[in-house]
Amino acid sequence: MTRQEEFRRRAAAALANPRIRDNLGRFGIAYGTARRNALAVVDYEKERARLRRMKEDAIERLPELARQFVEAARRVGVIVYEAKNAEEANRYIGDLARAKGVELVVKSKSMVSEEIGLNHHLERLGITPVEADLGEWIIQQAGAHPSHSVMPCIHMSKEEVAGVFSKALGREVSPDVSLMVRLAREELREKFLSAGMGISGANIAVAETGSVIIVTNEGNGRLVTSLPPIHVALLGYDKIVPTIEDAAAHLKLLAKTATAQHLTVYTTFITGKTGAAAVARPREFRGAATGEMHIVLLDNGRWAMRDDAEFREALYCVRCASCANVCPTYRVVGGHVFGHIYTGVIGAVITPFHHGWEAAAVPQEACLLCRACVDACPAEIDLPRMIVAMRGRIVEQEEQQKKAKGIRRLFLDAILPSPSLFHLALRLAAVMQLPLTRGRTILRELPGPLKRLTRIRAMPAVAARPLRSRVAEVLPARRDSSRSVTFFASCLIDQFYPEIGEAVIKVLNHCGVTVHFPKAQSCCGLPAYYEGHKETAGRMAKGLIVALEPSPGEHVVTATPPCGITLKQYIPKLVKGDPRWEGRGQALAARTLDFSEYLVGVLGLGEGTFGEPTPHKVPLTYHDSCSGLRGLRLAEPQRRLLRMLTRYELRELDEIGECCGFGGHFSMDYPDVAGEVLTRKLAAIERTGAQVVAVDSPGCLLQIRGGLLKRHSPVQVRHIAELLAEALA
Amino acid sequence: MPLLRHVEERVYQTWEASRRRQSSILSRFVAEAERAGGVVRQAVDPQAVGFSIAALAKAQGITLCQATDGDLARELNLEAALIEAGVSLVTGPSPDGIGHAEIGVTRATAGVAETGSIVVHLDEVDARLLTMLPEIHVALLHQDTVVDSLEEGLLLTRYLILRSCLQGRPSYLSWVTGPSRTADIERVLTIGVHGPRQLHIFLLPPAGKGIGSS
Repeated sequence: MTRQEEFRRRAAAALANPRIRDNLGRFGIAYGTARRNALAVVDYEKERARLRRMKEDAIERLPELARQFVEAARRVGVIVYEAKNAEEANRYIGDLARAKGVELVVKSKSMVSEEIGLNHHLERLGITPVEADLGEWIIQQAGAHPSHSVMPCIHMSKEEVAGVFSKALGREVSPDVSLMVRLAREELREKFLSAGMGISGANIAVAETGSVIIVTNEGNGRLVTSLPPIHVALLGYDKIVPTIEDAAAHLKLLAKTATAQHLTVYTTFITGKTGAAAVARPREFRGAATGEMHIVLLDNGRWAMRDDAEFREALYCVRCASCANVCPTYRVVGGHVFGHIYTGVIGAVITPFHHGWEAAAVPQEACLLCRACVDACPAEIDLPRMIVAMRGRIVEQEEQQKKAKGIRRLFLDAILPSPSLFHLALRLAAVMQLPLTRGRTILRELPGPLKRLTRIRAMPAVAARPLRSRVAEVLPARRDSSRSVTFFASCLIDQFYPEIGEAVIKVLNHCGVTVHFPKAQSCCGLPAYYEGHKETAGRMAKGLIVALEPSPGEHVVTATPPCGITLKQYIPKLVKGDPRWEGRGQALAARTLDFSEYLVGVLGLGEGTFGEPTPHKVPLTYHDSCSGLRGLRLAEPQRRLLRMLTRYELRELDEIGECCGFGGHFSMDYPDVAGEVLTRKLAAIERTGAQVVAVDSPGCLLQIRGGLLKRHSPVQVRHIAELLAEALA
Repeated sequence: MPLLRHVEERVYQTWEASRRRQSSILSRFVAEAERAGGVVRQAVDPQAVGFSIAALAKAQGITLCQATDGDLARELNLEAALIEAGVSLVTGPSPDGIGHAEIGVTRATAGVAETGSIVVHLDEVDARLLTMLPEIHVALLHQDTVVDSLEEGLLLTRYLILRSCLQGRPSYLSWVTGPSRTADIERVLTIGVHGPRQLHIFLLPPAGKGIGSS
């Protein structure tokens, strides 16, 4: 089974349970508002830059800080054990519990203990571990794994939880949340008082004083670390920071981003074991009455991550789960699909280091590369970049193991990079589709193996004549002007939506700009890049540099933001370090502008009006493409152009910046997941009452227009260039 | 210990600066602590606090109250007030109280206005349990020990911990921000899971001793 097939299988199982996406969907909306309110009291960009710098510094200095931490902890009597891997950590804790005659262990929330499978290990030794965090306790009683790192049972309804309570307590429990919380308090209080060992994790560890900092809301963390005579803190090296003061940005942002609180209820600084509670000293405990604290410092792939330039920044994570909360596909499939032990986007990225590449190959498929998580991350971690890097390594491994699927490889590595083969294939498709299209430009249903493409949306037909056959190489301005641009059309505009290309040219010509359209241009290589075919993407980058370099336009203009990102950001990266290409890649990047950005930024459009005055304005909404909004950081130019249109009245969507679910290959490979994301987008569009949806990217146009057509909606979807051109007519 | 002296100097400067802006810092503290679900009361006369605690106990049908030490109980006139209300009092970390008392009365070392937190620095585990096991935690906080920002709070925390650590002494310090809570089941906010369901903070007049002075 390929990883794509396996992901489809897992996603289908999650999609069959509507509870997951109902809970997560509702949560996502509530989270967005609550998070914004919580962050309103701080300068978010300043604080996250501070957190980022602090983590960069701490991880850079980790060898020194780790030594300092161990020494400081030993100074206050802590027994420190450094574990290379899960097995060593488990063995140490299990042996300790056995040596001390411990039968019952209470635990506060520790994802590291999930990472190493500690509960399982203790159970095999005949020791009973009890999770004390309410969500973790429910998950443990249900015999499941957490689907979210902050809210472990977010995927469960209160009825399901009541079922778990009934079974665990041996009596009928009604699905009343406050009743269940009270029962859990009573049930667990007794465990706290009789446990011989408490195991905690740590949110932060402090090199200067050997302290561990634990944040909890329920208060279980303080009981686990105070009542039992032995406290074991299990943590990764990545938690270490220089001093308590360095925790400021971390603490300031963690609760706000994780649960929209200003601070968690209990922020506890534990520096050694201050004694054992008289009330909770079990008779069988043979240890010293003063108690003991052990710290298990775990490597398990963390040092390798630190030494891996592409993945080091994953160690800056503070485990707030924002990347999951804002992720459009996480909100559809949940953490059991998007994740292994660690869930969500960061979970997918760190899985190879803790649990191997085999475990990591499938969950990362859930990423649409919409970048919502980049803005949401309090440590500014570029998760999509690491997802792409992961795909590169997975593809390499599949090549070596001969696991890659022939047709996919053939398309990405042989057809796409060859302009002649690629365009020939498209012309063949244009002919072969004739019996299906019968002259129409829309395909509502595709047959056979292509059926998947039209499951959630209608598809555009391949244009009978692509843009390259419809326009000349030089398209002069309507009035004399020295301005000229080179138009990079993108495959979607060239081959599927040539009318958008014509509109771009018309608007530019009208504004006095001569448009050059070098016919040597072909695909920019984005599909290969995003799917981890880095070598192919590199070849295609060079091909595009050669095709566009001689064209005399002052700027290169695109009306397809994802390809704009390729030209501006990925191509320079792909040719970096190659002295013959590096400068040329940078020159292309510097020349490239998005259509809206060019009109507003260079030509100074954005004031005044476009079109004849009209008494009745048509309601219009604007959908930001992920690439335009977060990739190119463009939100204003598009809106300024739309506000110039006399015919329309702009109404904003209530969830600005949400992905439409296109994601290039994603919506082709995983239409059911993409379809759920699209459904949410269409509902948001409907709420505005708009009759027209404006977009800046033909990918979003394909997805949203196709979805509306499939639902027989009269709402139109137009590229900004088309709306501007129409106003000129 | 030049490091400790340096940190101590900064703590002192913070305290000096905070005293000059005390009323604005205090109103910020009260607003944030109440937003987190705490109840804050000004106590002009510490001797009257005992009656407030007794009234609280009586209203909620509570019969056993425990304070960390006799000095604190005397400062608040707690015993007389509770006798009048028919509530028993245990002072000190006696096993008669721990696990049974429904109100725990402790001091707080400091407050942090930005987050509405109290800093509870109780190294003795049985005293500390009074902030964890009872249904109600009552904390006494001197007004002039409230600092403004989270950063200042961390500076103070660093000082307190460093002071113990450099002498090889373990320590345990918590910032408490409102009562215990969870939202683990269907994200329904529920107060009082493992810790206290109520947090009452009494703001006592300035002690004039600085913050964290031993």
